[in-house]
Amino acid sequence: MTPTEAPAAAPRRSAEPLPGAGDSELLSPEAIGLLRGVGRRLRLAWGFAWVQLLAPVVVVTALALVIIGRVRPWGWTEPVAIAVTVAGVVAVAIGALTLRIPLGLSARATDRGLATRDAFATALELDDHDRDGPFGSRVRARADALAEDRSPGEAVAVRAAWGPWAVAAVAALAAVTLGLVANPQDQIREQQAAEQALVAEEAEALREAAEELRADPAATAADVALAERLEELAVGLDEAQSLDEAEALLAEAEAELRAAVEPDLLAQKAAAQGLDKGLASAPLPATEGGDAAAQLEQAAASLDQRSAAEKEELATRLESLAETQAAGNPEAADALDAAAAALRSGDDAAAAASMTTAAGAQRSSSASAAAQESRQRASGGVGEARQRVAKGPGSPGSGEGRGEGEGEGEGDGDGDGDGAGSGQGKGQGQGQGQGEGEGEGGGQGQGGGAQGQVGGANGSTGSGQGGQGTPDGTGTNDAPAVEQDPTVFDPGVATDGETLDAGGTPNGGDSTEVGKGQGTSTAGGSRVPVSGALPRYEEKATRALDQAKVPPSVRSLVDDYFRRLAQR
Amino acid sequence: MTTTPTTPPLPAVSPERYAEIAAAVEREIGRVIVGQHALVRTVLVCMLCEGHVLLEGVPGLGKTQLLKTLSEVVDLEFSRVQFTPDLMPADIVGTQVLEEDESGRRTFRFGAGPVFANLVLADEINRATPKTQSALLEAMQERAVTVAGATRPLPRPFLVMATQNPLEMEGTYPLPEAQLDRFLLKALVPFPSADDLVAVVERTTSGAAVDLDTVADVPTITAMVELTREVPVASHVLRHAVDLVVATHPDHESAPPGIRTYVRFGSSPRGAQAMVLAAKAAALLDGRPNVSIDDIRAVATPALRHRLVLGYEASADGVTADDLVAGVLDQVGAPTAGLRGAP
Repeated sequence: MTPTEAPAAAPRRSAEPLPGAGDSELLSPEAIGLLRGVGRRLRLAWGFAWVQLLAPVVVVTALALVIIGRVRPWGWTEPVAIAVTVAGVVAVAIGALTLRIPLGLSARATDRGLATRDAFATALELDDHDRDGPFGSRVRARADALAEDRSPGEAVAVRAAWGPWAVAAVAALAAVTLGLVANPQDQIREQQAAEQALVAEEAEALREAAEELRADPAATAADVALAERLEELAVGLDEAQSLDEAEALLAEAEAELRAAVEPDLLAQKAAAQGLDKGLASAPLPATEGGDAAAQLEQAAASLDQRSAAEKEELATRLESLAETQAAGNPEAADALDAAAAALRSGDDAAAAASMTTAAGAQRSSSASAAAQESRQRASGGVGEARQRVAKGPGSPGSGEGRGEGEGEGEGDGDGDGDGAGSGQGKGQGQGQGQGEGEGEGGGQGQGGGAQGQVGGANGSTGSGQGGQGTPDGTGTNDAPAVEQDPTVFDPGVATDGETLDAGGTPNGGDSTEVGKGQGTSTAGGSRVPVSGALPRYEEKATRALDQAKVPPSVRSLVDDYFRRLAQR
Repeated sequence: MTTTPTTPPLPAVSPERYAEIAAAVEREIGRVIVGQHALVRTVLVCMLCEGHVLLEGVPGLGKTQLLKTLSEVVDLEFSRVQFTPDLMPADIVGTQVLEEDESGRRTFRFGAGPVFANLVLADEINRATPKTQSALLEAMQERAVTVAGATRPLPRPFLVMATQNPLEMEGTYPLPEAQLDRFLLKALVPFPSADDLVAVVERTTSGAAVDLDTVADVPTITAMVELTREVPVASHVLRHAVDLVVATHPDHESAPPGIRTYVRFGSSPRGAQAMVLAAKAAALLDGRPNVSIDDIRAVATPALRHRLVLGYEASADGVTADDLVAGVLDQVGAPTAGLRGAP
């Protein structure tokens, strides 16, 4: 569309442009006033005609967008519908204001509107020959006479075509009505926004974790690489288009980090930390303390100053230490065994070399365990994030459950009679509860069972197992169904369990104590996803193993337990 | 050898006087010709444009009578040529005649033919052979004739007013396209209404003779012809005439379907010239000092109908040139102001 839409190639009697205001002197002021009024009227008619033409199109388009916004969870439809309408009005208004309407165009419109048989157009186009000829004055006089008592409105009538306006009105009414009625897609949009916020929150958490890793003064190259991986994951989450995509990224990162953790990390860590702590509590003879590696190096350096008895004592101690390292740090165990053998054979140099080797293996194992532990923690964090993302930001369900727990404890006691021994008792209680949901979406209730504890007496070793509760619960959950990972009872959040005491006899030999516990569950919250709880469980178990003198057989049992869980 | 006659000064004729004279001519003709107002107006327009006119109609409708009456009313030198199959070109333009004077000396003298007149009535022009018809070509276009190497101008104004019977009648020779193009307008003479026919019968069967008044002489008519050409035309009006002519060409994008189907060749540029010139005369006859779109469209049919070369499909389907010109008028339409929302 051109502003004037006048025939561009219209031949003219001269090469002059279309008549403009300069030709107004050809006509009387009244005629020129009429033509200028017609020009303004043309501007109005042009705008009205375009609005009339575009109104049905724009309004129907807006209605279509509003309808789309009610069947699809797109948040842009209604704003775009408003924008399209406003843009149409603004475009027409700007077009009308900037429209160029020369006087010649007004003259032609006037001629047609007033049926003046081209009097005004001819009057404006008179050339010099015409003006001086017999017709110039007559043409002007005729135009002036025709302009008398005529108004622009007579020349340019603005007429409404009711068809387009009816269509536009009906469509506009429908669009406004649909815009005011509650949109079922609003809840989905809010859900999507919450999902985006959740993913962004997880990404921010990953960045913070990466920043912490970088900020740690003792950060190793592995820590820096891990930080970079976490930041990369955060970027990926930022760009994720859906919750599923974010979950897939987190799952991939979790699997990648978990794969970097060796299955016997617990044993490695237990061996490394056990050696350090064992030697911290009972340092090697003739050493100045410090960590295990330092003590081994000190002992190796001072062998030539030791007596035979001291060397024998050292060899015995090294053999004992080697036994503790067999599972988690075979290299150190072999070196310690070799050192002990060399000491007994009198080969101090070989013994010193083996002890130095053992010190290096200890350091290497500690560093490896620390790095893997970082990855494991990161894996756990990513796993928890994945769980949160998988669960989604849906409105929390309410559940109510009741559970009863029943536990059994069994303790073994072993004492030497003088009360100098040490013992440990350990018990575990489990309770489970399930509720059945009512209403839309189904429900779940959880209840914690009793926690059983077995207290080991002096010189005894006890073990116990808590009972299981079977709750009845009813609950409602309006949240969308989300596939849940297997859950496990978390004693850290369970309450109201009864304490089960299955203590062994403090002295006097073996004893067996069987305890039973019964507890009530706690409604909701006592069960957590396995993948989320496993790293914490493992860490606590490792810490427990490190803090006590646990026989290697028990350590292996615990290691095997968590390894099997991790493999699931 | 070319002879240039001396041109006397023309009387001043104002547009108002122009209209008065034309009205008087129409009024005087109306005293003889019953009805046929449109036909009279068409003939008058041609005379005021100094354009040739071709009247087509069956015998007995007053074609010849109309032209004879016109010549009497305007006091133009009138000659009539009855075209027949044995008519020779020299019978129209004249010939060299060998004369012997009293002394016995023989010389050739040009014997002017009937074409040497202001108003030449070529009656039943399509009864002559094409050779004879073509004798009028130079006279109509150049307003001069060449005989024995000498070009002789014809008196001004010079108008050929030809009549012809419909082509499908026996013993006729269709006019060649080049000669048809020389006619400013072609008018179809309609059969009069019953009331008009009653008046015709009464007038032609009674003894009363009509004494016509001469309302204009040759200089006055010449001045009126010149005044006609002075009428101003707006550019978009000219453009509309051109658009109409262009739309008669079957290969042009603006041509309506009928033109594409039935027309072999569209109008020549003379069609646009004829429309504009005739529209000027029509505007003056209407008392207006300028040409309007309506004037152009009003004369489009008589100006274009004889300029379309139709194919045999048109004859087979009974489509006439008038039908096709009407289609062109519908297709092109009167130009608007060119702005959405404008009239």
